[in-house]
Amino acid sequence: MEHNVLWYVLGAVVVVFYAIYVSLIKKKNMLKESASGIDVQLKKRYDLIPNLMTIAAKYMEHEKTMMEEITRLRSETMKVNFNADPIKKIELENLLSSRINDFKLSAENYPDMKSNEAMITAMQSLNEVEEHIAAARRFYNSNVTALKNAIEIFPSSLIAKMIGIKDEMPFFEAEDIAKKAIDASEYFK
Amino acid sequence: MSENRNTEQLRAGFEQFYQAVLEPKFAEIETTRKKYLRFFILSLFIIFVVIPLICIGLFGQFLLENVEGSQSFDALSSDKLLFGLLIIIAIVSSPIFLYKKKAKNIVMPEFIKYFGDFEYVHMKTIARDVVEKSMLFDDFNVRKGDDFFYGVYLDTKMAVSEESMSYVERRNKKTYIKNIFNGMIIQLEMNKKFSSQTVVFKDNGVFNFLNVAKGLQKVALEDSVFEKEFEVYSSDQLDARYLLTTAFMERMLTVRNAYKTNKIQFSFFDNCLLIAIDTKKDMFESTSLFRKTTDRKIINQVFEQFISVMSIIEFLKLNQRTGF
Repeated sequence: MEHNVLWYVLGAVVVVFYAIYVSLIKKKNMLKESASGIDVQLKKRYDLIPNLMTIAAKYMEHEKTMMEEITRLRSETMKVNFNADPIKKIELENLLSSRINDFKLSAENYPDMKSNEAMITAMQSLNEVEEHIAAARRFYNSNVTALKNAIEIFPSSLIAKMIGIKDEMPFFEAEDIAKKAIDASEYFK
Repeated sequence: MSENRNTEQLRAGFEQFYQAVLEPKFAEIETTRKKYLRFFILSLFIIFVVIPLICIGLFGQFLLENVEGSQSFDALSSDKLLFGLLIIIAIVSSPIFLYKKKAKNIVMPEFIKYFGDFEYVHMKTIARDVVEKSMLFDDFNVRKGDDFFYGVYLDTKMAVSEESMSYVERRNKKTYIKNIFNGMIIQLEMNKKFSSQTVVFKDNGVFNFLNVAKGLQKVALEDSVFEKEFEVYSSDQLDARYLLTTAFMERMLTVRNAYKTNKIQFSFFDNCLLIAIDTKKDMFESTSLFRKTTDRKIINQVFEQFISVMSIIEFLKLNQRTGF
């Protein structure tokens, strides 16, 4: 009888262990997937920037330095993969976002450019892409939270340690100015 | 007619519109109302005075002819009595419904045009496949539409239907009616393009498992107030967050608070937003057989009901185009 109880307890422990193990692996994979999602959305922005700069170059001759910096930052950021080096990527991305916001503010001083059809379309696309980036960032952050909680709370913390799952991925905190997606329509009224 | 006026501007111009367009229309149907009211009073008189008198006469005759009591009142069994009662109710209430239909078809198409390029159809509903696709409702097999209008307000396409849904089942020679929904369904064009489906159910606490929509995953959002009120499920976690930005969640709560109800649910699919508000309140009733058609209290009330629907577009800022 006692022998049977021991087997039941052991069986239950194995089931619980396996369930936690599966949950941890799922969370880890989900986090990786959402990090890739950020890369996908960021790539959309990289694709838009050259077009934006080409149109702006015709009007914003005095902002050449700023536009060159955006182009340089874009190339630099593109080289870094989010999954491989998230901290560096976040740092560069925040810098790029900040410069793009400066660009948007400067665009205010060029009414001719603001009324250019191609520019309006490009800015609307950029605005939409930024909303997608924000969504991807929120999804990624929610997955970081889920994994962090699992790694820190007992008993999953114990199993995470055993199978070597670490709390490696940082939160993608956008800089304050980048947090609020700018409504391009406001700039082109 | 609205020329993209917001709700504030619509309120300001309503008096002028009423005097120019609605007042003559309401005056026109006042004669019809009186005619139907006379018909209603007459049917009441016949049913509750004339028929009972005839019955009393017949009953007296019956008693005289059957002093011995050899015959029973089989003829007046409960089934037959119930059938008779239903006929009486149908006759008495028919002027109410006939007038309502006639008056609505005259007044409402004019009324709704004040808000924009709108069409009104009485007793129609939003397409069944749209309603089913929303995943907001349990199975239903009976739908009854009351008011339906569709058009464009502030450059946003919309369709609104006031309706009820129920599931009627016959078991063991008995009819069971389960009420599924009774209120207003609003379909709005979204200002964002998306290919997924996101459903926002009201939070049912421990009964949230009842909300589970087929093939959709639960979405955990950061807004604690929103999370307390709603449960979100989506086929795409990223799209759900693209649609439900922190600002949009706040706006959805504003809509919920404006309607003072917790029975409000949302579904995003096919680039549109479907809102189901279980109000139980009979909306857009600008005409009643028992009130003068020019009763401003009712007209103003209906105007505010229209405004409350239109303002959803402003609350949610669906008229602000941010993408292509």
